[in-house]
Amino acid sequence: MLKEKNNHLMDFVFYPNSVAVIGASSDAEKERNWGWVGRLLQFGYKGKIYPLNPKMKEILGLKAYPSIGEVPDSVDYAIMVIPRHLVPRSLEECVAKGVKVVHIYAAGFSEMGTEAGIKLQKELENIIKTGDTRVIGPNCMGVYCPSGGLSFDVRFPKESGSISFLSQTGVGGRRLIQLATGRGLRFSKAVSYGNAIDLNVIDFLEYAVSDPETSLILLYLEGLTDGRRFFTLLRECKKPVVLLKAGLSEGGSGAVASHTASLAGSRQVWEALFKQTGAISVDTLEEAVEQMVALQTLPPLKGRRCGLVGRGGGIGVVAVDMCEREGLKVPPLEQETRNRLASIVATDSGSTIRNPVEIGLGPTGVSEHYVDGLQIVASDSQIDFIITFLNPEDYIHYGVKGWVEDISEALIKAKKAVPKPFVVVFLAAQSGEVFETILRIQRKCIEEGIACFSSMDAAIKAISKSIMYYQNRND
Amino acid sequence: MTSQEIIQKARAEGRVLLTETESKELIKESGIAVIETKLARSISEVVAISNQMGYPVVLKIASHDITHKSDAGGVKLGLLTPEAVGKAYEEIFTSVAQKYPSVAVQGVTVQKTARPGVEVIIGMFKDAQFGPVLMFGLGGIWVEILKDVSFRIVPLTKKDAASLIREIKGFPLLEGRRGREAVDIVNLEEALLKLSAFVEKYPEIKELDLNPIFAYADGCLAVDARIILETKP
Repeated sequence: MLKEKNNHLMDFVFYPNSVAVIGASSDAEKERNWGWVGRLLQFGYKGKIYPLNPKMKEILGLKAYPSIGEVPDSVDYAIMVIPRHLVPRSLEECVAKGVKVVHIYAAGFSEMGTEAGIKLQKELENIIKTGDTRVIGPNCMGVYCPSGGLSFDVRFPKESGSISFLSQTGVGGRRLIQLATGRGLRFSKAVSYGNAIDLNVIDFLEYAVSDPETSLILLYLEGLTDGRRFFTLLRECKKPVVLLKAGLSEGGSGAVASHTASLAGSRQVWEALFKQTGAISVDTLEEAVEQMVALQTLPPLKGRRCGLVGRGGGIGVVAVDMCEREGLKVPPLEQETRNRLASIVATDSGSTIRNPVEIGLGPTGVSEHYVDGLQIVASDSQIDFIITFLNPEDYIHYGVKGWVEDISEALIKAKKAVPKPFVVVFLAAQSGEVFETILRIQRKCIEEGIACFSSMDAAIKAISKSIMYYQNRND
Repeated sequence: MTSQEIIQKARAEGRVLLTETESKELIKESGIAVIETKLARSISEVVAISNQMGYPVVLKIASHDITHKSDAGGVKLGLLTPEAVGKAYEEIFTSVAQKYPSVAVQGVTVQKTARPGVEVIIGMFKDAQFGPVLMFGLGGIWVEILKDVSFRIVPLTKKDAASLIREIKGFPLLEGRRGREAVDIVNLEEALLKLSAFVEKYPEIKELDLNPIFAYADGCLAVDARIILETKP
């Protein structure tokens, strides 16, 4: 129904034909706003929904069932939102019913580190051995797949994209999706898989690697069970993979017999993995978002030579240092480029025509020279791409009217006119007004497909890593 | 003895640490050049082997229980004559007997003094997540003090081997600077690829050091080797 054929196990996860919500709330308001039945309805899920609640005949207009065994038809996917002590019994019923995949939301298992938690998790592991039912979780948010009508948060966009996000963390995963979608990125699929007693990162990664709807894979990973399979999968993957590996330890336990083992630690081995697979290493959720912006909104860059355009000499000099540190180049412009710039900036006082270039951005607003300047710098044969930095705070402070409209218009015009990849950085400040202004301009830019970053540092780092990725892949 | 026989013999004797001669015998199978090393059990044997190999030679104590041979006074370098070899043999035994009165000693190993080259280390250990991992670095004090080493997960590709060697800080020393000859880097890359295939073939090996390997303009030669086996077969 939702897909041509359900022949891959993961199709039951992302495109199930029927979903049971075990533990749907008897409080309609609560279920509509916070429950899975509400989310399925809001996301336009097209399959059959079976709310389960022994006290209810109907939930949000759908017939409710007392238990999974009472559901008349087969169930592809069950979402279990019940307290943890009820989970084993309910899982047994799902296995007996032959539910294809069960998502267990409840926490309080092995991750607690307590004897009771470990024992309860072991119990679940034993239950799934008795049948063919597969499990996501426990201790996780489950699935977000807008085209399948599933979302673990109503606030996420209904629009689909091409990112697949595999996340061990739930809350962190949700935050990442919010950050990323706020920056204009869109997901094909996301799964928060928690303790992974059954389906784990390898299963999801295998699917994402060959999924035609996925062009970029993001992984948040703490632990790993089959490192060798993981390594092989990443090595064979033709799509960019952004990987946040949390919890690295410094090596060398010392209690080993060889020199080699005494020098090695998990950090060094993960570094080797990144070099060998081309997976892009990021350290924070925020960096992961910036990296995805670079990969999704910029074409593969042909070189490392950057033309910097913006207002403020010091900001430019610091940016040059940052570029150099991250392996980007800020070369001097060709004589012809400088001549062309000089001919148009004669009227702009304080303009500089070296790289960084300060042009068309005066204290009173944006002049028509700004877009011309960007175009001239971009046509220099020594330049591979442009970063332009803008500081809305000054304009707001001096009350320059129409600045936001002018700059938005200029950036959209520049995106079309500039013959090379073009990146915008909005310099943030600690004021609500500035943030709001930035968000307003940024939203317009995102709609036009312009690559926007939240700081020079973030832009330069992400661009450098993207260049490295494409170089490594083509070598 | 074949590699499997060496491994089985050590296991049968309850050892996980292979002797120097056993380790070198195994490494030979990988295709990496290893210096010829023989075990001598008496003065007459040590002199006969030295005469046959040619001088200068190096003697090292051979004992399953002594890990740090130099500290035990168990290593004698650059021995130029049969007389020097005989004297060194006795000195080794005296020193070891004093420092380790109760250990069993198999004899001494004899090898010809290798011509000097750039010392590098190649090793393998097993990571809990990813299995066998190779290490490359400059040997001697470079590895001891500066820990100038880098790693790749097995199996290595040609590209992995090439980048592994080039990313250590001391790489310019291999390229030849200040009148030094450049070493045969392709040969080192091949050694890494051979070792990668070798450790895949022998999952029984838990850890491995080739320390040092001498890198020359015309190849490389493993001068010392140590292999540690997995406890369970």
